[in-house]
Amino acid sequence: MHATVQKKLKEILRMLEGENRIFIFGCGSCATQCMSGGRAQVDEMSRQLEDAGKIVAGTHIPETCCSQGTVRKAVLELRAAHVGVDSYLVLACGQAVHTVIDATDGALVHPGCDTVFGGETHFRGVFKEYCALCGDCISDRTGGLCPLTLCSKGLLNGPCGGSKGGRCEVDRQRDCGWVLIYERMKTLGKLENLKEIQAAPDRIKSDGPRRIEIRNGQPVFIAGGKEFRSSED
Amino acid sequence: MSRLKEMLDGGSFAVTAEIGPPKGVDINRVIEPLLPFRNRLAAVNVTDNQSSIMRASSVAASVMLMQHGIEPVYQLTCRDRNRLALQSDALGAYALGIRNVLVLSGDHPKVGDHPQAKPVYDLDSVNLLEALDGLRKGFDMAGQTLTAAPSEFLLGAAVSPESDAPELQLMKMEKKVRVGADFFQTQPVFDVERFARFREETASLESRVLAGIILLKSPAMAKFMNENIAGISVPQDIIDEMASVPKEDFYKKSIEIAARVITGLKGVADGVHIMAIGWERHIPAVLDAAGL
Repeated sequence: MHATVQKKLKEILRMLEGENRIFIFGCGSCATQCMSGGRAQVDEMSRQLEDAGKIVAGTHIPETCCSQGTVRKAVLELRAAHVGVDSYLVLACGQAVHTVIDATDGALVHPGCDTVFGGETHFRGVFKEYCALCGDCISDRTGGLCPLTLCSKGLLNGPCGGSKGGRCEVDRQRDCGWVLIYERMKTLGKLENLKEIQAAPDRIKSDGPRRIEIRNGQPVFIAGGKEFRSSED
Repeated sequence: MSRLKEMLDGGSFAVTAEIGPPKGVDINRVIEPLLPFRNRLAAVNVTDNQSSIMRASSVAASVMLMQHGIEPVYQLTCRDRNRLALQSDALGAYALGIRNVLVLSGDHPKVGDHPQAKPVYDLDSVNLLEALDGLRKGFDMAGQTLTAAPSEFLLGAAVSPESDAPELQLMKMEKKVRVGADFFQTQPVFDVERFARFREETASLESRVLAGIILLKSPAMAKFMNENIAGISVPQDIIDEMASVPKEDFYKKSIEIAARVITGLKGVADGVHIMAIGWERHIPAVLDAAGL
């Protein structure tokens, strides 16, 4: 999921300065779970904007706000509500902001949320970051725990000198990712694997903006000016 | 060849010290206290934005040390530069005459005075050592041939023998040796027996280790380090010993403790790295008391 947190109202009102008719998009998936752009948050935002003297032309919460087809269909169905809109406020992730630009053929769109990480729904109401979306997963070597994400410095060959009591130098409440990896590999009986030297990472696959295109039924991943196919040797 | 390398290769007990460049351009101010006893030091470390606090560059201060006849150990961290900048700075440093490089991950920017900064860590310390070893052999990380190689680089790295995750420390130390580390510096050592056990455990690596020595300024400083600094544990009896003398004699007691640890480390360590943190003027007394 794309974890999001809603921006402060003051900041949102500053973005909307000089714009009167606003249409608000939420999202039925991630932003609903994170309580940053579900029905309740969209309704509350709507009330706050009206209190601030704005006209809320309409609100909509597509099942997923990052799907252009879904959002475009919603815009067409509610065409009347979109006429004369000054701008859109998106209470969803940064992908959704662009989706609304596309679906409205280039309207003025403001982000109402900060997109903070790609996360796991740990349990209801708790979301945690376990993947940094680097594009080149190496967690097989570390028991499925990503050092790039779990170590504050993203070190691949072991902990820095700042690990103390199993905690990180950046925040003593935060676990040292390398101690977590060590304990997990010990449990798995694979400590020996940690002795392997990890070469400097090839960061080409994290070179954005990245895209995936399905061509002839085969996905092609494009990053850093290169194409990658799973079927290649 | 660097003097530090000569001493380590020749089996002499090497003594190094450390300076931190100031937040300003008055670098000579931190060098001057070392001048009266510079001939007693094999080399002097220059920290690289230590504790992630922005200061004058370590390469500049290293060159200024050389102008005063002091051999630098140029500290290079992975925090602020990507692989292009790290290799480029290393080549430039060598061209300026720097031969000793100490490679560190570097404290995270969040703990320093520019917490808004982007932490780089494109390479980790193992990757950087490997890259510098490659430069030494005439190739950059892309496999391109250098026009002239920094073939006399002496590569240093850090290890924390008293870490509370010792297995991970040893695992990483072994990796550092495999990719070309020539010597190690450690966090401050107080327990000589524990350090000797660490040397036994790592004997197969055949590495040279300079044991860290810190001049304790007060019992409170010792307690603070125990609670807050990773890899440092000052034994209670040493804290008690510091506390047993009046405040004005702390420095004498500190010299006595440091000299005693150094004496115990002879034959166990390949030398010592003294972190005096503002008490550089007391280093000669420490060396005298340790018979060095």
